[in-house]
Amino acid sequence: MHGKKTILIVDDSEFVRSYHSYILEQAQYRVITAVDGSDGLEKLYTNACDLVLTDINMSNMDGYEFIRRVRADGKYSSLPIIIVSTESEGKDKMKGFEAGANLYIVKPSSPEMMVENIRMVLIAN
Amino acid sequence: MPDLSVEQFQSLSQQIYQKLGLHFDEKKLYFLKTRVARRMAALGIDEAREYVFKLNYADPQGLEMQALANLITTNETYMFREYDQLQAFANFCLPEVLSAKQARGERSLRIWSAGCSSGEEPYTLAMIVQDVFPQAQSWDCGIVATDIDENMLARVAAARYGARSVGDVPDEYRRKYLIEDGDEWVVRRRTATLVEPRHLNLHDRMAMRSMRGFDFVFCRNVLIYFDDASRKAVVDHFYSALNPGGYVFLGHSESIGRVTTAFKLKRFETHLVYVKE
Amino acid sequence: MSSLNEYMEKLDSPDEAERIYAAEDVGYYNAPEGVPPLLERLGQEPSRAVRDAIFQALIRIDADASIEGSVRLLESEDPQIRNQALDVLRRKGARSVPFLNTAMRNGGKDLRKFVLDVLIGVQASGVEAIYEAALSDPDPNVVITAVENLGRTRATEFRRRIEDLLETGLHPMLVGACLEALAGIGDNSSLAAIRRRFPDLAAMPDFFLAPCLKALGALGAATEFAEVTGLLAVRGPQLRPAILGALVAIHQRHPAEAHDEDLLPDLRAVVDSGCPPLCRYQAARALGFLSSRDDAYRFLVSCLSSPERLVRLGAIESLRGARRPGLQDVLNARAAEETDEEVLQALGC
Repeated sequence: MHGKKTILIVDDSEFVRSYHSYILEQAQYRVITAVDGSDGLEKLYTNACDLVLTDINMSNMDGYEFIRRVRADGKYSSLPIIIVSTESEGKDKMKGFEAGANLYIVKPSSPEMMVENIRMVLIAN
Repeated sequence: MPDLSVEQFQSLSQQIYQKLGLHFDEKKLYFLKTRVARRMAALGIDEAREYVFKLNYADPQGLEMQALANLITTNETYMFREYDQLQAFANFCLPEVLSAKQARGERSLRIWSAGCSSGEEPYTLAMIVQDVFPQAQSWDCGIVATDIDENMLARVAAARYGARSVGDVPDEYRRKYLIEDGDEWVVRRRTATLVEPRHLNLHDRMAMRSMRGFDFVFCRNVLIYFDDASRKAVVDHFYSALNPGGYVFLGHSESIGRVTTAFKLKRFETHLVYVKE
Repeated sequence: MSSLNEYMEKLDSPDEAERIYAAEDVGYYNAPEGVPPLLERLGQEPSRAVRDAIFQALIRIDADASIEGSVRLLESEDPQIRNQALDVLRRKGARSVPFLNTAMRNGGKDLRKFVLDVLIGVQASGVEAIYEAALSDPDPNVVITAVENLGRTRATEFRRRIEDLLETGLHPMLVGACLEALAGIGDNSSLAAIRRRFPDLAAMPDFFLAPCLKALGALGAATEFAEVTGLLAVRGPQLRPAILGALVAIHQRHPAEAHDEDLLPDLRAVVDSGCPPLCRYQAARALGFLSSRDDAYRFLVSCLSSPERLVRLGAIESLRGARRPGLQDVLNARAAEETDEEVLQALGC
């Protein structure tokens, strides 16, 4: 829509969805939100998205499962996916990359860093 | 009429989506407002934010959500209801399942219409099956139509419907599968024999376990009235009831992904459907 | 007991449905002895549906063993297992609290955050102590989650602590969470704390301004109303819902003082502009403040023929407050042409 890129935010916290939405909308992205991995898949299948930001720990369907299912669909094999999670250990990040994420950001991240990371991932794509 | 702010509306529709799997977009703002007003009046609540709080944090067994569900859903049943979803079934899911069976040399097709009420749904499915798959007669093909209400099951057996029930039946189908009798319509015997009415209480877990080997389960606009725990228990039983590759259909606006992640989401054009892998 | 043994054996059946039924039966049997075999099976079970059934069974078994087992599972490597363990603990409610208290004292940062994820919606004694500890936690995610929960569950007794965190908090996400929480549980002193931290609304980035507007909507009066009106013309369209929401909320609590004639052109622009219909509805509602003015009244009447139904609905609601002679005739005239069922309803009642 008017050349704006669309970002799907998947997180089970209403506050986090709202907080990240405002950051991204101010940075001129269009935002769609989902409450967990299952909702994320439905939203992805019914909207054209340019990038996905996903949490890991969500009820119903977690982030790794969500990413694996997204990647299993050939149509989305190169969709940029960024994990935004509270977990910061090396092994969590490894798991994220193994599942198919492009980048792993640890929460809480500064708004400027988040916007910059998204910009770089979109360019790289 | 209470003042429901945009944010409160969004919070409510989010909550309704998470608990019932029903989508309420901004077109339904007024609809939701009036129903919420009725619940608030019933509870003696004056301010919308109190009601939003109650639904979010003070409704531990989901009773208020159920009360709201009763007001925001329609209970009508008629043939070819939720046409979009039936298109997905007829054009994609059914042909896919039939080809897979033919490839394996299987010649059976079993469908379960759970909570069938007076039978419009199972007969709709029977018409579609015969239309998409004329060889249905030479296969072991059957639609089990279950309901807890014996009066309803008697109406299924009678297979006789008034104008309201058949209003949405496409002309072709009406010509091929129904016979006009005065001001009623009767399902032709050849089609009606595909449907077997059977008594079943969805809450009866032993009875539910006896339902196995189905290729399709339809349970549309029934589960929204159940509480969280029962809804999950029923959908979990549907999983066991299905053959691998089988599909489950809840009401088109009820998202099964809210209840369980055991099924896989598939997309056929604009239709989203859930399959047991 | 022999039937429990039978069920337990079937947990290892090669047939997936048999394992599901076995887990279900162990759950309904409801004996603490059922917990260890369920947990053991969980460790090796490849099927998601069977794992689901095992967790449903843990919920049904009314024993400390299922709570203890679930707390241990919060540290599983598998996030699906962690999340389902969280659900079990939430469902156990108050009974989980003593075990969660221990986890909070001894656990790592991730476990401490999960404890708070469990507690949302759990009312019980002992919970306050957990939140007290969480608000001083060294890990920012723990603090942020605690603040989020406390705001949502309306824990007004923590109001001052959250105000303190607002004043001293460094991380933007924490500050945002405090603003959001105070919008729900704040009072006049909270409003003062917010204004001390943010004296200038115009300089705030969107992600702070939005929750701040919520707080102002809940707590503000005429002065805040005037400040907020100035934002409508200068901030981006994504903030319109938040700005209009604040204006409508303040006006409702202070109808006589919270009032600004200059709003008319900005509100008209939003109603006309074609931004999401919900926003246009909000603006039409907000025009209700000014309906005593002839030009606003005329504009609202013209909205009755808008092609967008939500604009028509907003206008009707605003006009009802106008108490003008001849209003009923205007509404009746519209009803004669109206085809939308809900708009007709709104016109009729």
